[in-house]
Parts: sequence; C-alpha cells; structure tokens
Amino acid sequence: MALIELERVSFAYNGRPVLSEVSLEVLASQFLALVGPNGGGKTTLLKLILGLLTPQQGRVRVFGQPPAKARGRMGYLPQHTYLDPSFPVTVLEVVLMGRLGPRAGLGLWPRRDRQAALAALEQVQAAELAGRGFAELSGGQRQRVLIARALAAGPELLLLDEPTAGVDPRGEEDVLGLLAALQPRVTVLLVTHDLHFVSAYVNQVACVNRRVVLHPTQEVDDQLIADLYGRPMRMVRHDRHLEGGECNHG
Amino acid sequence: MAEFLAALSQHAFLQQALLAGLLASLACGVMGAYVVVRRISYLAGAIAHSVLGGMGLARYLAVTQGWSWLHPLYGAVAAALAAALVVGLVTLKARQREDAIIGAIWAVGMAVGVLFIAATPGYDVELMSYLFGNILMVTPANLWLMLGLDLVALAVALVFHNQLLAVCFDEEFARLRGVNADLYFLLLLVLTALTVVLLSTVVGIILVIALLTLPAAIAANYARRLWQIMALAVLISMAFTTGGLALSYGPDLPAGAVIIVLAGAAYLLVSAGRWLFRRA
Repeated sequence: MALIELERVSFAYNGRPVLSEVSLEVLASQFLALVGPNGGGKTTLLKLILGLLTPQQGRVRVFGQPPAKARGRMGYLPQHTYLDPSFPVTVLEVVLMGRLGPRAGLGLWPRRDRQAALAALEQVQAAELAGRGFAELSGGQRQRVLIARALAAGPELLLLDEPTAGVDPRGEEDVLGLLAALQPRVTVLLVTHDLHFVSAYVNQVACVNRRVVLHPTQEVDDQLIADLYGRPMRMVRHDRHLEGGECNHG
Repeated sequence: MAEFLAALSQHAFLQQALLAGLLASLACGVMGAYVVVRRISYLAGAIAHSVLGGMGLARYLAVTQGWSWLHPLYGAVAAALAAALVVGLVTLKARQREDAIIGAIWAVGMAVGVLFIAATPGYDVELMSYLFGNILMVTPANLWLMLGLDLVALAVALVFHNQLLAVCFDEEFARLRGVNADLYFLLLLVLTALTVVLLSTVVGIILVIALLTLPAAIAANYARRLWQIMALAVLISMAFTTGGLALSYGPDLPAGAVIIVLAGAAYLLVSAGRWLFRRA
C-alpha cells in the first residue's frame, strides 16, 4: 500500500492554480526529492500532505487516512525564514515543541520528553546547543535544531522544506547523510533547489510544476535535467548544477 | 519622596493605590511578555480603546436606569472580552484587510463610549479618569478583582506554558502537533483584554498599551527565555508604577501619565545604551 496517495488533486490560491490534477503515490521507505521552479507548487504539495491546506478537488490520503488524522506520525520542517529570529526561546524548548500532542501534559515537561528531545538533538549532532538561545544561532545551526524538532516525536514520514537552505556544503552533506541514515524506517520527502548533492542520496525525484512527475534516480541523467529545467546544465566533475529555468513536462 | 513616604503611612487611599500598582504589574508583566513576543500590541490597542464603549454604556445605564450596582468596571470587562473575541476571530478568519477591520474596532469602540458619556445626564468628570486612569480612586473591591485576575493570568501561564510558547513561536507547527492553536490564541487575547481593563484603572485606556508593552520590551533585552522576560517585566512594571506614584504625589501630577513617562524614559535609555554598547 502506498504511504502517500494523491488522487487528481487540484489547488489554487485565490483562483490562481498552483497544482492541477496531481496524482502521486509514494511507497514506504522512499527518499524522495521534490524539485522544480519557484512557485511551481513544491511547498503547497507538502502542505496538502500535512493537511495544512485542503485541496479544492481530489483526495489526499496519508497512511490510508485523511492527513489531519495522520499528523501525529509525520514530522515537518517548514521553511525557516518565516520564524521570528529574535524570539526568546532556548534550543531545547524548540525541540520539545516537537513532543507536543493532543495528549501532551500540562505544566513542566516530563523527563521522558526531555530525553527524547536531547536524543533528537544528538541525532543532528547539535546536543551541545541544547541550552543556547535559538536567537544566537547561525542559520545552519537553526536548521539542524528545527530538523531535531521534526524528529523529536519519532515520525514515520518526514517532510522537509529546503532542509539545506542556509547550510554550508559540508553541513549539507551531514544533513543529507543523517536523513539517509533514517532509511528504511522513515520515509523522507524533501524540497530542494539543487540536485547537486541530493541525487547521491535520494532514490526518487519528483518534478513539481503545476503537475508532478516521478522519476527513479537512475533516470536522472542529463537529458532529464535538461527537460526539467529547459536547458542543458554545465557539468562540473560528476556533480550536476541546476540553475533557473522551467519544468517542461507535458 | 520623604513627603510621599510620610503620606503613605497615613493615608489608606495611597496604600491602596500602591497596592493597585503592584497587583496590576503582576498581570502586566506576564501578559505583556506574550503581547510583545507574539507582536499583537496592535490588537491589544484595539481592545483597550473599545473598553471605553463598555464603560460609557455601563455608566449610562447606571444613571438613567438607576442600576447603581452597575459599576463602569463591569462594562469595561464585558466590552474587553467582546472586543478580544471579535478581534481574535477577525485575525484568524479574515486574511485580508485585517488591519483595517481592527482599526475600525479601535475607533468605533471609543466613539460609542464618547456618545454614551455625552448622553449620560449629570456633571461628568468620569471621562478623564476613564481615559487617563485614576489610581488614587481605587477601592478595596477593585483590589480584590485585580488579585483574582492576577491569579487567573498566572495559573494559565504556568499550566499552558508549553502550548502557548509553541503557538507564539510557530503557530503552524503547533497546529500540526495537535495543539488547538486558534483556541490558545483566543485565550491569549481574552487574558490580554482582562489585563488591559485592570491596567486601565491605573493609567487609563489611552496609556495602557505603553504600560503593557514597555516593561516586557525592556526585559526582552536581558532574558533569553519567555518566563525570564515575564519575571523581569513584573519587577520592572512594579518599579514604574511605584516610582510614578511617588514622583507624582509631591507636585500633584496625574500618576498615570508620570508612570508612562517613566516607562518611556527607561525604555529609551535602555535602547540607547544597547545601541552605543554595540557600536563600541
């Protein structure tokens, strides 16, 4: 059974269509990269799967349930740019937010939750940041902390919106490596702007530009990239740089 | 100052005023911290100004209908709660033109109050004390009400701390974790509304936002966690209300205005100090 199922899903913001007639099936234990131009609908697709947005047409099922019911089993990393960078909160407090739930207790956090939050920080190699203020961190450190928050509840499905934004290349490899290490226990969907690093880790690539087309990574050759982005890409060593352009699927 | 201390030991009204300032500071520091970090001082302003509508209506009914039990404070509480719910629902539901709607609530609430005050027969000295507060007129019954509101605000902040922190920091994520973010946001506004009423007896409706936000804004410079800002803001607010009362007593100045000028000066000094410190 598919873990995520979209059936002819359409979504528009104020009449402006973002996704139309999208059908998609993602099997368990996949590591899937969503690529495509800005405004192509990548973030919208994640939010539909999370149930933060409701499609105008079509049906979304996650773990065979409506998204709102499956939320407890999903972890989410939003684009970090919308958070208040000066908010008075410690790293541990941020990660503990990932432990909230309908049944989360009131008052002080129990020891079990604190331990789980610390373990999540260790997973992203940021345990030493626990007591620091979130406002004092660099962009890359913040990104790791927010990934820890997404991991804190032990999700089976992880949805990440540009997890490597603001992270230096070395950190980028670390982040992707840690996500790859979650396989096959966790299914991962990540939005990214370059296949440069990602293609070595993921096993499927979805091009999102009003429509969604899935490709196994083996198919991600130069011809496909040229198709996706509308022009051939420069080759630098064995890496593929993707720049600008548009997704030109049918 | 010596004059103030001598008078304090003699006059019950002055002791009550001092106590009112201290009690108001408790709720002010706790709720002010939420207002500052969630950046909703504009919403709190709209709630504060619509309080005049409730006060005016209560006073009007008390005089014309002979309902002498209907103290303006009850009208203020009712209007603040109603405004909080309307403002909250507008913010949550109307994604567009939200600021225009809130601006309208702000002004119309106040206009309704002015109309009722004008329609109320009799000699009217009350308008000024609604607008600018009169801490020297606080009654023992007011003090009990303040204590009650303090206990509610403190209890909510303690019991729901984790949920409120998450909703203020990242509302969308909190919702994903099954937290009823809308409900907590409304709870925050309702408590802010009650705090606004409480503070308006000290400094009046017009000045209430300054007293709500300045102590927390100063505290935010020195604390890295929300509860630390709250604790610090309570102490700073207590210093402002007590200091303002003491400074205003000798020269017989309006206490509310002196409290606000004191708070504003402190905020300016702290901000300027940080700016210079960073450049150095």
